[in-house]
Order: sequence, then C-alpha cells, then structure tokens
Amino acid sequence: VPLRRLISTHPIALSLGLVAVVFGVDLCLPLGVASAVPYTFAVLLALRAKPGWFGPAIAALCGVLTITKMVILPDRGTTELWKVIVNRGLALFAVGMTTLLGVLRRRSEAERVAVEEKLREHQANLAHLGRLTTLGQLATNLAHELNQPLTAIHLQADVALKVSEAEARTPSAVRPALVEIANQARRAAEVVKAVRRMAQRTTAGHEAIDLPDVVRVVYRLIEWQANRAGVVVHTPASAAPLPPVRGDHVQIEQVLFNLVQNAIEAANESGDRAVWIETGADGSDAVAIRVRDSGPGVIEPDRVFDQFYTTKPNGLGVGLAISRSIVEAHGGRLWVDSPAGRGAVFAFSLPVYRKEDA
Amino acid sequence: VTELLTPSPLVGEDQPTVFVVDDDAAVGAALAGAAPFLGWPVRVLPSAAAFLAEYHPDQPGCLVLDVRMPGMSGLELQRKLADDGVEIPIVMISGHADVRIAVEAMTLGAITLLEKPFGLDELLTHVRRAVEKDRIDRADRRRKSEADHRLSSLTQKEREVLEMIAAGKTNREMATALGLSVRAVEDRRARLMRKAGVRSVAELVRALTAP
Repeated sequence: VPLRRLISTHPIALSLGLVAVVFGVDLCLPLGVASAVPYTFAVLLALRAKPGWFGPAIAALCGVLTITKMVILPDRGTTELWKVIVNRGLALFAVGMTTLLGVLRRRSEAERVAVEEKLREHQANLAHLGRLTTLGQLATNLAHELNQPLTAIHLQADVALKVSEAEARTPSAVRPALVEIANQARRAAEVVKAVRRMAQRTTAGHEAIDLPDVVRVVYRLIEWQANRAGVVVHTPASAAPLPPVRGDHVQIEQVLFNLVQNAIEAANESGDRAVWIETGADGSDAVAIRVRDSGPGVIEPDRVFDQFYTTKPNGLGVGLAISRSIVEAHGGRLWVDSPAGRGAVFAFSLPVYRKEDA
Repeated sequence: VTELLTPSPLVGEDQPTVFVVDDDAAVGAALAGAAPFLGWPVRVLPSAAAFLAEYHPDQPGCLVLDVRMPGMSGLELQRKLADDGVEIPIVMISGHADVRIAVEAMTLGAITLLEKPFGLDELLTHVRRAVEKDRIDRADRRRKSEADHRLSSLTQKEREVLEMIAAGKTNREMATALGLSVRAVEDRRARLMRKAGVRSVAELVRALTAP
C-alpha cells in the first residue's frame, strides 16, 4: 500500500529512477540478454504522470537508450548479430505498444471524466433551477392563498360601509375607516398580483420536449434513490414514437422527478416494491406520462394537491401543489387515480408542440 | 334599518336564490353578506358536490362559482351543468383570472368572470344581471314550451295551413293549393289561431320561432 501511494504521488521521479536503473543494468550485461524490456515498466509509471506528454517522452528516451547501449558497448559475446538486433527490436516494440495502449487508455479515461462532470453539472443545474421554480411556484400559490382573505376583507368592509350609510347613528369616523380598509385590501391584492405575474414570467418555457427523453433523464437522476430503497423502477420499453410537447424541460423534469420520488417512497411501504413509468398519447393533441406504484394508494385523493397537505413525517406538502401549478401553467393537467386496494397512479398530460407555438 | 335590509320573507316558486359555491369559508361568508342588498336569499355551499346535491333546475336564480376548488373545479361543474342541460347563469370568480380560464368559462356560457378581490358594487351588478338573465331565459323557455304544447294539438290539416301561413301565402293561394274554397281556408285558419292561443299572424310566427 505505501508503494502504491508512492506510485500515485511521485510517478515522474519513480519512472526517471527506473529508467536510470534499467540503463545501468543494461550497460553491465552483454547484448545477448533482453535487459532493455524492463523499460516498459518505466513507461507505465510515466503514463501516470499528470502532463500527458511525459509518458511518450519517457518512451522516446527509453528507445534512444536502448539503441545507445548498442552503440557505446557493442560487445555481444557469443551471440550472433541478427539475434541482438531482434532482441533490441523486441524491446523497442514492447515499449512502443505499452505507450500506445497507455495513451489510448488515458484518453478514454479523460472522456469518461468529462461525461461525468457534465452529468454532475446538469444535476446541479436541475437542482438550482428546480429551487428557483419552486420559489416561483411558491410565490404563485402564496399569492392565491392571500387573495382569498383579501377578497373577504374587501367585501366585508364594503358591506359594513353600506350598513353604516343607512344607519344614522354611526359615528363619523367609522365611514372613512371602512373605506380605507377596502382600499388597503385592494392595494395588498395589487402587490400580490404583481408578485404572481413576475413569478409566472420567469417560469415560462416554450421548447419542444421529447417526453421519453425526460423519462430517461429523470431515471438517471433517481436511480440511486430507487436502489437505496430497494425499489425497482420500470421505464417504458421503446414503443411507438410520441410527438414532442411544449414547455420548459427543467420544469417538466422536476414534475416527473417529484412524482417518481413520491412513488418510490410509497412503494417502499409495500411488498412488491415497484414503480412503473408509462408514456402514451392522451387524445390527439396531448401526451401523458403515468407514474404507478405498488404502494398502499392515496387516502384522500381530493386533498393531495392542496397546499401544505402532507402524509409524510418530514413533508412540506408543497410538492404536488407545485407540480400541478407547473403542469397547469403549461396548459396541461395533473391528476390522481387511486383504485381501491391498489397503488396510486399519478399522471399528467401536456399539449403537443406545434410549429406555430415557437 | 334591519327591516330594510332583511330579504323579503316571500319565498315562493318565483323567488330567485343566489347560490354561492366557494371552498373558502371566509369568502363564502363575505359573499353571503351581500344578501340584504340583493333582496334575495343567498345560499353558500362549500363544494361543487354540495351544490349538485342541493340544486334543482326549477329553482330560479344564479350561481356565483369559484374556479379553483379541491375536488370538482368550478370549470368542471360548469361543464357538467352544460352537459346536463341546466341553464343557470354563472358568475365565475377567480383569484387568478388568466386568459385561458376566462376563455374556457365564456365558451361554456358563463356571463362574467370576476377577478378576486372585487368590491360589493361589482358583485351586486353582476349578480343582478345574472338573475335578470335567468328570469328572461325562464320566461322565454316557458313561452316556448307553452307554444310547443299548443301547436302539438293541431290536426294534420291545420298544420298544413300553418306552414303555408308561415311561408307567406295568401288565403286564395292556399285555397288553390289545397283544393278548398277560400271560405273553408278562412275557417281553418281561425280555428288554428284559436288553438294556438294567438291573435295575429305575427304572434303566431313568434310562437313558431321562439328560441
């Protein structure tokens, strides 16, 4: 283990040292011995160095040294010349092949790292945009929730005002106060409306989205969660092609991610431990995704989309409410089916993308 | 004052009722507060299902309906009523009146979409208009069904004459076409006018073409 650590921390020094040792030993032995072959180990070490050019450089040095030995100490004892040439040639070939394979391996390794980096970046982006969308939707939903009491305040103030007008004994200060209550309710509603408009503007999207693609992305992101929970997620087998839908792919991914995450949590409470994602046409101008689980089903289907409704010990109760807002903002619908005795089916459909939408 | 404000106790067949369907109790209570100014009873219900359970199509009035509700939404209730042939005028109220909802509500026959929050005067104006529309619609429907009923009692021969009158034929033309004397055509014509309960050709045509 200390040796391995040394190899990974000091590949340059080790490979240079090994080159020196092999050259020294090679000089001491007669030309008949294949003493140049161990150069390959020096090349293998050199390929671990950070700069990409170092491996090929050491390989070239080894090649030069292999020939040099032949030139400066041409003593070949009893061995014939052709055997010496084949011997040296094999050593050069071994060094060359080692270099080639090593460089190719380095290159594919670099590609893999780049792909992983990109994936991680995409995940981070999704999480960040997801948070932004969540905030936007939270603002939208909050605006709706606040609008209700403001409506009640406004109407009640108006009613009180009308009654006080008919009542001669009303103290004179009451009327302006009531007018002011109604005005302020209206003003607060304007603020709330402005917030909602802003949140909606930042979350609009009109790209053409391939839903099977969304399923693939979400599956990749959620696979580890499913594995950890021991739940199998079945994705649709490649069937008939579906038309693209219109929207923002990060938001749609977020909705599906949310539904699948819920499904995995529900399936975790069941014996079968399975989740199915299905795609299909919903009429002629919409495409739907259905997420089915083997869990215990939904207790109150009417309430699951309510803000702050949750059955989870750590739940906020905003996930489904936000998902529904997102889908509705896309002109689609999100619904739940919970057949008695079977798992829940959450599904959403989105309008098909048309050229005119762009 | 309270006497002035309480709705008249006369609750009969023709007394309109304003139905309010909103899941938010505070909004419902505020809307109920409008009753004294309307002079009609206001019935507040918390859900579309509760409304369907209680409402009878013979009940005149109008419906003040929230768009967004858990369970059946306002738009869904509106669609169901339209499918069932219930023609109660609807004042939609919505916290987020976007264009899509407004268009859908209007296509389905809502008479207005009020955006929350709204003032009492706005509400009173729209509710009064809706109730008035309901009164006219019902009167039209009643007239139409009465006319239908009367016209269905005509004999085949009287019906022939009726169609010719509607086509603008003179008595003489009818007599030629039917092979009768002008006198006989006049008799038949008088009989059918009596049966249909109309006094002039204009009234007759209106009964025939009533919406």
